[in-house]
Amino acid sequence: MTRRPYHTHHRRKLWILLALSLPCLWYGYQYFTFNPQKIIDNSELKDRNFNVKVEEITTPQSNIKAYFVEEKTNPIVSMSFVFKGCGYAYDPQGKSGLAEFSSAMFTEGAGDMDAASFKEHLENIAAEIGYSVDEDDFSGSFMSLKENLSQSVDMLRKTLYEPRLDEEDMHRTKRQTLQAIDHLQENPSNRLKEAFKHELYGNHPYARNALGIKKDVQSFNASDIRNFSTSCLTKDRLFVGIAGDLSSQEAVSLLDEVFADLPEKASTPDIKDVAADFSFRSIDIEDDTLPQILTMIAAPSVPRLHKDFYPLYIANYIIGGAGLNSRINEAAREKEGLTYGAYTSMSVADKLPHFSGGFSTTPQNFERMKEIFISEWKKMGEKGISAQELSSAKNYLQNSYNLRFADITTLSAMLAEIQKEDLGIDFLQKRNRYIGKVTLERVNSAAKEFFANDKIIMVNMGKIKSERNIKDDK
Amino acid sequence: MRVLAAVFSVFFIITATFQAKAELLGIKGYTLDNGMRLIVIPNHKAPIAKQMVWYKVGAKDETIGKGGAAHLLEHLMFRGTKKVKGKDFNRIMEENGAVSNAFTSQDVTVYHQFTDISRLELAMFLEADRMANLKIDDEGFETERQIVYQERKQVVENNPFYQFNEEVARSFWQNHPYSRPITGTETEILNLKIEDVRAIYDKYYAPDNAVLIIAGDINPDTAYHLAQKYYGKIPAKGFTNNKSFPQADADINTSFKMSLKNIEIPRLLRKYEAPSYSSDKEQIYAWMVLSKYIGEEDTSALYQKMVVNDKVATSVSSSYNYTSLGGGSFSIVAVPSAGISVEKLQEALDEALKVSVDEFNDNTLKKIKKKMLAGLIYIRDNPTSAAQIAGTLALAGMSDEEIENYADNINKVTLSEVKKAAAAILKPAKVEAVAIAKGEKK
Repeated sequence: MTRRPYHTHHRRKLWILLALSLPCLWYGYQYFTFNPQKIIDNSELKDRNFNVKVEEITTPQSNIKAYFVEEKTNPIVSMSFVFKGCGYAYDPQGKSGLAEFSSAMFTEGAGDMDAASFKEHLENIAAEIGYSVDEDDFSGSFMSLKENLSQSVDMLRKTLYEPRLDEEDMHRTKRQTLQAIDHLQENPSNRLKEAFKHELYGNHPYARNALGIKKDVQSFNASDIRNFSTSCLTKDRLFVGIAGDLSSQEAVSLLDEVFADLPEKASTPDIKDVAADFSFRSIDIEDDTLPQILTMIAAPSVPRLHKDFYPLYIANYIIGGAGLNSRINEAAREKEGLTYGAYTSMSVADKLPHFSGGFSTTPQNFERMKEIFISEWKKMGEKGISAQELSSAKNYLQNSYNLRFADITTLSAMLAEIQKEDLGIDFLQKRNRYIGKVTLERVNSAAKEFFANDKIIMVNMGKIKSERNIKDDK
Repeated sequence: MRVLAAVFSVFFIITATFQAKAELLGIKGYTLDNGMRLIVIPNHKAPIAKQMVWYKVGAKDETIGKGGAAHLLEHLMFRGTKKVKGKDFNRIMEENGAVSNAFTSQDVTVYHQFTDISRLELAMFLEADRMANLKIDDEGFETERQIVYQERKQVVENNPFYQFNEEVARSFWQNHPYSRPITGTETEILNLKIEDVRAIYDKYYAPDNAVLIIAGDINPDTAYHLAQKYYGKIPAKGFTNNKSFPQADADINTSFKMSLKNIEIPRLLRKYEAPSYSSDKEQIYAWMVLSKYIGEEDTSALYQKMVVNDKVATSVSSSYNYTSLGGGSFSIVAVPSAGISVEKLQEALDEALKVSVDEFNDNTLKKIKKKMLAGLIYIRDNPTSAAQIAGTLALAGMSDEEIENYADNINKVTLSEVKKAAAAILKPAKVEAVAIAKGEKK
């Protein structure tokens, strides 16, 4: 019987072939299919230790505190500081826009230098000094070369203690501010924002814009600014972050030199919380000059230290914070091409933490877009999120964490913010753990409470009526 | 994924602050075997990195009537390859904490990711993969075309000044492809076909037509070896990069007033032809000095004369674009004070320019150089902005050495070079345009 051995032999060959080819097939499968985790696991760039050491420093006599990080990559220094409760919502009655106006005037000449020579000198020593204002706070930012630090600090001191406020410079800044108020009207998203703030905040000063109203701006004089400065820019309102190429001793001297002579206590009154009415409404503002309808939304949320903050932070990320991968963008943009983008975000404004969001789309897509937004909102409240979504969101929020350490300006601003929000000196170490600890249950119970379709305000601006009429005709 | 109508923003950063430091960014350059240029900018502050791939193709390379194809292709690059299916690119980047985006200009299309260093290799794998293996399906194409259409409506048409700028570009560039909008017109977008974007991909997306930038916590040699690993195996397409375009007629000057809805305050824009790195590299540093002197910052000659002293304007500034491949431009924008007519503003600008140029002497030159060089080190702080600057300059045609020698090149500028550049802006601008409110008398 020759066949059988032949057959057996043949089979054996097949087995050998198969056995030999299995590793190849396996290798081929591994090679040609894509496994992101494998690339990460095999990366030669993994396992870098990184720990930002935050130090609390205090000036010996004046007892001013700051958070400080020594960072020597480049010979530069950054300092950020915040005066809490000195933002535009705190401008006195009849003086709306004063904080913003002051922020401009502080760098229009100081001490023995007029505006031109002051700015010229800043450029020559490459010192950057700027002030800015939001509804809650008045903030300063300072950047200097290590080699010019003492000169730069001297300039910064002058802006706080000896702004010149010359008549001529006041006039010029007024002209510019009055024009900037008109300029706001040119941009449709600013016009919408104004209407939206009015709807959300009503008579509360949060409804103002930072620049103020023209009549008030025209009335400003040098003593208004000095009053603002001495009554609000005070030690008890101050939070400071310092980062860069200097020792903690040098940081203490910097702190002392700039802030020791500030008044101890503020004398400006606090403002009350916003009593916002979030009951569902969709307000239409007709504007037939716009090619798209622009929409802004708001819904209730929680303050920064509330137990539901992180659960809601994750829910927000999933519904509208994750860029193109968010639920709303997935449904409206990626599937149906209705919009260039929609978003949601969490505001932790002192007097009204809330969710905000928005989108823009052409009139024929508007009803569908709005429907998607509201149904996603409702779905988040009713069904919450899945375990898979939670794990993806945590991955993003934790893996992207180090990106915030790209520059020392952002770092010093974070250090000031951490103190203002009372997050603790170990916040930078603990933040990823805060995210990690959030459970599915916590997200879904918070979502149930806060994502309710009877608690959301929409304000829409564009060709809304005319579009409806066209539809009715059909 | 947004359109960059103007890549100008970068230049303000560069020219704003400066210090006499030997090298601008501390870069290390390589060329891969397949011709791909690599620029590494080490920055070990934090365990993070920015990857950018700059393709030398943009709106200017589109066929007439196919406007918007390069930009639509940029969107479709996020919709799947043979290996990385569907929307997985975004999903994977997102789950790994990467910030990923892209933009298209007249000259370039750029893809970039900002990641934890442990995810850089993943980003390199993904970016290399879509350089060669893009898949475009009908459904994804149709949806992205709608998105791009909405993008044009939102970014361009909602904004009166974008419309104004497109009009200025048409007059300035005439027959040159730069005269056409980067997004394409509405009609063009809606008529684009898969073949139109595929043609751009097939022709231009190749390692030898791209520059890879890696900035962050990585050693140059490691970056080089990883670039070889992921990009090195993609075949070159034999690029020479010598493409010619119709030139705008140098003798035609245009001036116009454009009335726009929703404008409250008039604007005056003057746009002059100027050398770019690709058209006349010897002259660009003198023009940078000129721009700094004339209209950058509140200390500039025009601001001091027109805003501070004569009070005819509330703002005036200049900017100089020297990186466009099709030729450079020098622009001045001014806003009249309340009660000042545009005509009065124009006269005042003429006069201020004349006096400013007259006053420029050796002493001013020294002062301007000092200011330009004082804070140069700041641009090394953030690896993402350093990468953006390196990419912009590299794509303008600069060698690594040219990029690094910025301070030296500024220091070498002579008075007569600046005077020569200044003479060009005392002549009528190629385009003088005024934006006014609709209904205002013209």
